[in-house]
Amino acid sequence: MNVQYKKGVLTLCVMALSMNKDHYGYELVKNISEKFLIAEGTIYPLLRRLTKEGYFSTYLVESQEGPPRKYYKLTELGRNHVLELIDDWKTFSNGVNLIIEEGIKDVAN
Amino acid sequence: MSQTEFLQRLSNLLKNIPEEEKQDILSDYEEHFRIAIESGRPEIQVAAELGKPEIIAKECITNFHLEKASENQSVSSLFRAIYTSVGLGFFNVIFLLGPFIAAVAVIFSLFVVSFAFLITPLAAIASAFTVDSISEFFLNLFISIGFAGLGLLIGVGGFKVSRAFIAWSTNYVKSNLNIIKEENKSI
Repeated sequence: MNVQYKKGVLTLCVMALSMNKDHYGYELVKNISEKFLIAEGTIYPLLRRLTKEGYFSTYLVESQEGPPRKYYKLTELGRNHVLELIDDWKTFSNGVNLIIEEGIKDVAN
Repeated sequence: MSQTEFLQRLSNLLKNIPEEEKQDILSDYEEHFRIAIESGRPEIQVAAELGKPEIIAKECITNFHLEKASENQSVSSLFRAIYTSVGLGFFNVIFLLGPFIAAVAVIFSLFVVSFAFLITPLAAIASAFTVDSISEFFLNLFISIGFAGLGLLIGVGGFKVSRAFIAWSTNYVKSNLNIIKEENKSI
């Protein structure tokens, strides 16, 4: 998959996953990598960037197993942004799906 | 690749990034390894799934530079805003203050002339006490009425010119403010 394209989609994914619940990095990575192939390591720089842009805030939570874990919480700004991204994505994917259907129909005829 | 090897390679690749930021990045991957290993995954596989340290480092370095670039840009746009405000003020004082004062003076003098012309009939009437003959008095009166008409015209003209001038200067001040505001917006 095209790198820029994938980056955009990954942004949408990590933000969408964080809409209802705060997650630590590993959870986000695993949740996404279960669904499609990614270089897992690239999620962390992405999270750092989104945090610096103010879409996420982070906090540490002590864990029973050992050192604390860094949780990512979607900010108000992030929430507004992800809603826009989701809208864009829906328009885009609907368009692509229609095009694919048209293509398949043409092949069938 | 083992965890140590992975982190070591990433650390070397990030040598141009400030130490604090680098440690912060590395700690994300330490956390990842720790949780993965706790959940029973083999270290080598975890490292493989993370991807090449080179790719990760490239992402981090790009982010770092992008961020620095946008910081620099906001500093430079702040300077630009100050420069624009000062420059605009300077331009206004040097090139526009003179013409502005001249225009105000011309408009003011139009009103003065108009007023002076309008009151000439009063002077003509007053001249009744000093003129030698009645015909001279009427000559004065008719000439003064002519002047009063002219004064009326000049007054109306002056009024229109001043209205246009006020509208123009209001727009000019507004556009100045907009220019400064636009500059500030980009900060």
